[in-house]
Amino acid sequence: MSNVNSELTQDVYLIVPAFNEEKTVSQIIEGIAEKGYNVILVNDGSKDKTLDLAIESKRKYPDQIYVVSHVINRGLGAALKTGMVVALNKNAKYIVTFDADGQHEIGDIPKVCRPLQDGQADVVIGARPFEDMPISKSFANLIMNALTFIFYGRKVKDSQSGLRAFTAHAADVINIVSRGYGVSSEFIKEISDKNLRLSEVTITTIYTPETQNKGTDAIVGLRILAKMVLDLFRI
Amino acid sequence: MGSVIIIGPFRTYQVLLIITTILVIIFFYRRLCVKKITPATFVLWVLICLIVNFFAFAPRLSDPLAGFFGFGRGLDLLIVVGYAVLVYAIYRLYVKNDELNRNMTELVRALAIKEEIQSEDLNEDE
Repeated sequence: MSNVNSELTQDVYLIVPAFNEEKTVSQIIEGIAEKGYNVILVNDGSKDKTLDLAIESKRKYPDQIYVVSHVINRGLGAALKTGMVVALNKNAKYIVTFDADGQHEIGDIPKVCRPLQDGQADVVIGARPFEDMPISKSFANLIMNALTFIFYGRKVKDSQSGLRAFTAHAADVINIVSRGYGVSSEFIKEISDKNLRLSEVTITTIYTPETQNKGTDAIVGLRILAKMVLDLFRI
Repeated sequence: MGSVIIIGPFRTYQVLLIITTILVIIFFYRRLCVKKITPATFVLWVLICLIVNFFAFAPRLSDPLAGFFGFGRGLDLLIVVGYAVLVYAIYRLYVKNDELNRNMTELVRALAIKEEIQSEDLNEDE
């Protein structure tokens, strides 16, 4: 079952935040480990069998899968930050965030890592083609791109993508405080503030009923907007 | 509808204000006695009560002050100031709540990292 890490994969740590993802978590983290990458599964206070299944997966790939668990749900942003801290503690060279709901293609991981490994970028965002999205999702994401540009001054193709890659330096200097979905826009803000080189590559997105129920919709978008406005007045 | 109720020399809202003021002062005095608040906080609350009562019982006296800020009546000024104070209080609560949430997240994170599932733990379970 074990897989020999290649030079291109051994320094790469995938962070997979998971909240009630029992349907997909095993398949995702074992699929990533199968390719030779390291995986840090951050269980974010799941009420289902996500943690048990992740531990089962760790039994199969003890040297590649790492499992940490929040005792209570703290949100996507908090889980990603926990994963980044763990990855940096393990001397990761490249850190990739990857959603646990099965919307990302494992085959896209090399695509987002390549600009980092070639020294062309500090951060890479995997941009989902909006034309492939359901209309409600693509509209919400377009609005979020516009708001991210207005508030943080950076124009990106997909500000809410969950597939991102960072060099260890970038992950170290980026300071994330958002707990929820607002973290995606905050990453863009931090990239701008810290003058990090950003590259965007087009990725494939797999839409299933589960993946469509999550992510940015109108309500989540409004919450993120409210947070952006309130943060402007933070003392 | 529309008629003003007058109780003795006072209007209804003035009577209610007197009762509320007495209750507020008793409440804060008891908290002062058990040292839940400082004497300065108690004095501050008494002052707030006196100012509100001043506006309620002598609305005409407060009109020049209201006029200075562009309001027709002292009571209007009081209502606007009250709204502003409430909005500020809600914002401060939001900031405080956010700070508590961040501290809690830090705690949860530290615990998660400390208790990372180790391969050795898995072998013990088997």
